[in-house]
Amino acid sequence: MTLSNLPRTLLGAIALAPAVIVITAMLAAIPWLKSLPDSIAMAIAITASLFVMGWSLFIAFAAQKTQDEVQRHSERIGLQYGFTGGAFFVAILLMIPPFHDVVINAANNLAISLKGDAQKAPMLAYVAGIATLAFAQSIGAVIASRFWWRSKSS
Amino acid sequence: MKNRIRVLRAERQWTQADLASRLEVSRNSVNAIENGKYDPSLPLAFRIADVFGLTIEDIFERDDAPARAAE
Repeated sequence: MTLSNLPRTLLGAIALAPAVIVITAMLAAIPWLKSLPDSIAMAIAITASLFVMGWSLFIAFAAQKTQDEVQRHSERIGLQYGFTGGAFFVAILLMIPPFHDVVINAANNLAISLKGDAQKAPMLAYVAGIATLAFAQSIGAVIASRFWWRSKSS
Repeated sequence: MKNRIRVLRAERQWTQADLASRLEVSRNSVNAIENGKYDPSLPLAFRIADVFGLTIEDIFERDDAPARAAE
C-alpha cells in the first residue's frame, strides 16, 4: 500500500503530524525552557518556528501539486474572500464588549504572570493577536472555499 | 457558458468518477464543470473534447451564442 492509497483524512493527519508534534513539544517544554538562559531558549524557539513554517510551506506546495484547476480556483476564491472575511471577523470580535474584556483581562493576567519581565507582555500579546488573525483568516478561507463548492451554478 | 457534458456522459454510461479519472481531475471538479459553476481552461476543454471524441464547439456553447437556426 502506497501513501497515495491512504484515505485523505489519514494522509492529512500524517502530513500535519510533524508540525503538531513540534508545537506540542514546545508547549510541553515551556517550564524547561524557562530554566534555560534566554539566548538558548530563544534559539530553540526560533528553530522550532522555522521548522513549522518550512514544513507548512512544503505541505502546501505538495498539496497544490495534486490539485486540478477547479480545486485551485476554489482555493483562490477561499483566499480572496476568506482572508478579508477572517480579518473583518477578528476586528468585529474585538469591538464586542465581552470579547474585548476577555482580551484585556488576558493581557493583564499575562503581564502579572511575567512579574519582573513585564516588557514581554506587549510582545506576547502582539504575537497572540497575529496568531489569532492568521487562524481566523485560515478558517475563513476554508469556509469560503467550501461555500463555493456547495453553491449553485452561476 | 452552457455545456452538454452531462448528456454526453449519460450516452456513454459514464459516472462522474469515470469521466474524472479520464480527465485526471477530481469528481467534484467534473460536477462543478458539468453544472456550469466553473468554466474550464482551454487545455482542459480540449481534454474534455478529446475524451468524448468531439470538438469544443460540440460540447460548450456561449451564453450569448446566436441561435444556430437563425444562421
